Amino acid sequence: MRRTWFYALLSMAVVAAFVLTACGPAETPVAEEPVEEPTEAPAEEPTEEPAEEPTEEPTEEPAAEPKIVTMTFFEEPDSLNTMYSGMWFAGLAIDIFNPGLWYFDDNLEPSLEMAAEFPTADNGLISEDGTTITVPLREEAQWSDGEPVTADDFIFTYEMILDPANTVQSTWPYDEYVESVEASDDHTLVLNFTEPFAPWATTIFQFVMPEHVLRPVFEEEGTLDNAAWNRTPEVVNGAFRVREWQSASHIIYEANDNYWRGRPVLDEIHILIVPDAEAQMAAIENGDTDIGIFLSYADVPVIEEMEDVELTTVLSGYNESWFFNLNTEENAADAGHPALQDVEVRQAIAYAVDFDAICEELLYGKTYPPSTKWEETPYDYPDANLYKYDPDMANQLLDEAGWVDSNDNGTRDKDGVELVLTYATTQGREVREQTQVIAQQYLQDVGIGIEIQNASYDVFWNSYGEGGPIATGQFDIAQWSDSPDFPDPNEDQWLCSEIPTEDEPEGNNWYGICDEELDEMVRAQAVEVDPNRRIELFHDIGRILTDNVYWLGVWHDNDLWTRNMRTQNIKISGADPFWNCFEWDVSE
Amino acid sequence: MTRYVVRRLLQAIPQLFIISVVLFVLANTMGDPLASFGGRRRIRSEDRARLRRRLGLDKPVMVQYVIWLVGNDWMQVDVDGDGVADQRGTRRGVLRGDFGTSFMEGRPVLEIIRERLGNTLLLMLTAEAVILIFSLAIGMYSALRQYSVLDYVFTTFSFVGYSMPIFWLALLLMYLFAVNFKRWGLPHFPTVGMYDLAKGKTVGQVLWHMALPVATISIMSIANYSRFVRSQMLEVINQDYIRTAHAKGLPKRMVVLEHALKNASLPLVTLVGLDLPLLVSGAVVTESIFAWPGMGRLFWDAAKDTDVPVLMGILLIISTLVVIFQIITDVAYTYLDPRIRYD
Repeated sequence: MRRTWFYALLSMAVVAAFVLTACGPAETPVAEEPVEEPTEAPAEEPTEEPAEEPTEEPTEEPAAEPKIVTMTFFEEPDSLNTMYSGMWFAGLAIDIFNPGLWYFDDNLEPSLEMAAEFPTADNGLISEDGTTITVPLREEAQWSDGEPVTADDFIFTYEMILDPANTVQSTWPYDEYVESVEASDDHTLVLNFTEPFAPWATTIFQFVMPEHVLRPVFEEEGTLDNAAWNRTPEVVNGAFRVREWQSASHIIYEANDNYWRGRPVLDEIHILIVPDAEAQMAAIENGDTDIGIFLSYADVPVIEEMEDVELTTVLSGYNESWFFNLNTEENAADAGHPALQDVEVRQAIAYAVDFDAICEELLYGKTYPPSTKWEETPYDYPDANLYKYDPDMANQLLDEAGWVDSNDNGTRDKDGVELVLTYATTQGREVREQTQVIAQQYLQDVGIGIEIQNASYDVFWNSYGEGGPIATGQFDIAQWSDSPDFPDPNEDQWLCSEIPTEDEPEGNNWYGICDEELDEMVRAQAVEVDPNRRIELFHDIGRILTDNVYWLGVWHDNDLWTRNMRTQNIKISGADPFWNCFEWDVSE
Repeated sequence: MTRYVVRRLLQAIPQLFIISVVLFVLANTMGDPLASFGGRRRIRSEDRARLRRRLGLDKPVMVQYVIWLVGNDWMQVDVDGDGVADQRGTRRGVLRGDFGTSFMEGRPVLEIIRERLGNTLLLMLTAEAVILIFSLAIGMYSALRQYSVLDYVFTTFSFVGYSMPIFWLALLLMYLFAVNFKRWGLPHFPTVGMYDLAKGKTVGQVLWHMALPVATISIMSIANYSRFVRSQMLEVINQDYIRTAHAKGLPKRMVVLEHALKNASLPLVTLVGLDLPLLVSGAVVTESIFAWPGMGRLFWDAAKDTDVPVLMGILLIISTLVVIFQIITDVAYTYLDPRIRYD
């Protein structure tokens, strides 16, 4: 009796497990495409007489193991349609199957995808006034279903981005700078801009949608918001096609035979979706993943102990930075501490904190304080003042500026105002919060008091109109990491016109900095089409930003990646990380 | 009885309405859903405003609630942001089975929940079976061999198991049986996922991958339930009718299983019964650590991203199940204990 009862329960458990497994969530397999013989050879292949096909003998040898690279994502993409996502991880997942005109390779040079030639003034594809750019498209490029990729696909993509019926992530820069997109023929795209727009190469058509698949959906539903292509893009133009995306579990890609370069080396790419960075670390350690992504500096010592894992640092354009609140009573935003209006005080702050030591201690010496926001790029100002740690200089500058400790309370003051600054950053990133504590001590040593006042991500980034603490000036020093339109250096956050007000709450110059010379340079670079002149302009911008300490680099925030040594040819780019997935390989 | 059930079901309507209002308001105070949209970069203010309008977040919370409840296909909405309502809405509302669309994934909430529910039930039902088998076995043994060496061992392990935080236990099991076992060259369990993608979703793969999550969920509950069974059994085996059964010459096995265990497990059945609706909600911590694609992880992700439609979908389903199971439990009492009458 006892055994019967026990076995009954056990059987129930096993049967339940089997039944539920069988009834598991339906995966979303992509409908098999009709197998078509490739009609054209890839253009880059020399056109040779086809070699005589060897007669295929039936072979008894077992089929070769498929070549697979596995990677882990600790944030799940929200969509596989670029138009609907601003997520960095979604961008990675999309790079694998949906290239636009070009990628930027590991040297940050254009690697042509749908474009046949990169437009420059020299080859005449950029008009003299810089407002018209012509892009010849690759004639051999085709969608995975065999349809050619044409200029009409790009025009359709442009229309869909701007159509208000689609809940797209961002309409920029198409709504502000693009006047029209035209096709002079099936394989020539003409972009007309309202004014010269310098960062066009990194912001325009980084993806393209198949018109022949999606226009019928748009016409039927009135929007692409619910299109199946957003999650399971069965018709693609990249090296791989999405075979299956199971939410919170994985994405599986398989080789696209119709890719314009020919079939990629790998058969499949697997993305494991894990809940957090710790789960990724366990997977790296266990060999369950070949590529580790967006690793934390705190993981460096553990990774360096791993035998089969190589750590790579990739320039991403991001820099962890300090921004100062120079808003005054005249601005709509809350004014910063009056001491910050004095450049000597800002310089003193820069000298007072040993950022090199912070990088050494908290970031294991894997990075360093950047000299400008364009560190490691040609736009970086080579003679920038690095403000190396010098507490004596900091004390001297503060004394000269009239900030002295007149009441012997350990904090400097002037005209009855104590030099106590509010220092804000986002909650939850440990290394930032540790930096705050260390910097607080350094600043206290020179008589500057610090009050830490952090906010969660969702509150911290709120706009001026939404009362965001940074946008409305509720800080003196704020810390976060940001990047220009990398690898393009464009930034407009230093423009006087970007200071948000009640009437114009959209501005993103949350620091209230209005420097006429800086303003002029930032405006000039945005319309400058001569690359060399643009570099000079950025050197000037870097000089103004660092001399005046409008901005201060805390650490150069390159991305950390790992790869298992069994993988080959993986060349991560900071702009388009998976640009060369077509040639990735694995050893036996 | 029928009148009672109907009355309880009618009472459940305002109950669920109040619960939904409270949950909706709380979910909307958790943060800004747009915070996760920009990824590593700030979203342009113009885009934020457009997205807010498109997702309906520009309206007051109570208006959002009404739309969530009854939809907006009966009213005109402003699609292009020019201040003029120019198009009929498309939402049908929860009352007509439309739980809305996830802010993050842009897919219907019910579709997302349906995808995860099977995985969670697979994990939780297996864990529940393991819990029942082990807690009954351990509890009964400890009661029948009170103060034996094994009873002390079980008691000690029960207290240790019960006092361990589940996240710590999960990480401990992962690092021991997955990471370190592999390092030591021993057969090892996988760290994350539901199956090895290269091998496919076979029964063996799923069972292999669920071993550690099931162990994590089970250990704490076994510690708890086995103590409960032990104390219930100790109480029952000292009753007169058990002594009578022994005196009648019944075999010990029959006395224990037929008379003692049956009576001792009645409160356990009630306990398990009340746990059933919570099975649907999954195990937030365990699913998150082992990357099990279930409801617990969905809830955690939705909470992290302030994906209000998904959060509300999960919470409303759980609330409804709790209310329904309460009614079922109340009704079950009348069958278990004939003295109880509701009419």
